[in-house]
Amino acid sequence: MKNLRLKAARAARDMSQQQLADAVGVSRQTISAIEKGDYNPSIKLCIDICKVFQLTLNDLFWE
Amino acid sequence: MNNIHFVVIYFVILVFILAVLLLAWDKKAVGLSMDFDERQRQARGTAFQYAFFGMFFYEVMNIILSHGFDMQWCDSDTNSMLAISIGVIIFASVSIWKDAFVAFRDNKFRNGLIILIAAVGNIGAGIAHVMEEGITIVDGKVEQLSINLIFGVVFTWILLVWLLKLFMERIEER
Repeated sequence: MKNLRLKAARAARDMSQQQLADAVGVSRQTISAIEKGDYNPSIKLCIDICKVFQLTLNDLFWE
Repeated sequence: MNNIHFVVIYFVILVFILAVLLLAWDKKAVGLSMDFDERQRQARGTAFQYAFFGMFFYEVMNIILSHGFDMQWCDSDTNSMLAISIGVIIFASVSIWKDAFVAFRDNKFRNGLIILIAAVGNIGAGIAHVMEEGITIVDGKVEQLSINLIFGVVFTWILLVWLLKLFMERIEER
């Protein structure tokens, strides 16, 4: 399932996939895969992404 | 196998051990960060599995054909090299396709260039070897096929998959 909330949060901050990837220490393709729903990130990576956006896990990853 | 083959095998093993030691001592010394993210590690694990089962399947087919039907098309040395090559090809293809072949902080183009040089060098050496000594066929079996030629084909395949992936990524980005 696509993670549109993550994409929207990134777009709202005018952030590219590469910038987010650099901020959390993963590859751009990993961010792309999470947004497309092709990859389920670990809880650690979810937390790192939430910290970048200053949002909670519920905001970004809870259905 | 004559003495020169043993010398080559010892040399390859020595280089491999030195490379592993150097890598263990300092990853950056060999120019690789080996810094794969969690998705890449998972994808590489899958690629290793495919490579293992690919090699396994090849070997099983080989045993069935050679022992069951007495069909052998090359000697055991060439066969071993082919099995290894199949494993490498499967691993490289799957991991390239899943963006997990090189660490995400490594320069993709530098790695591509290394593969290109390895492909051209090995193909060149392989063709020179074949032109010089020809392909020996004894009792319908290819014997002592140039290792360079096999490696050349492997690296060329890897390069083609890499280029195709790069092309697909460009289309996706548009």
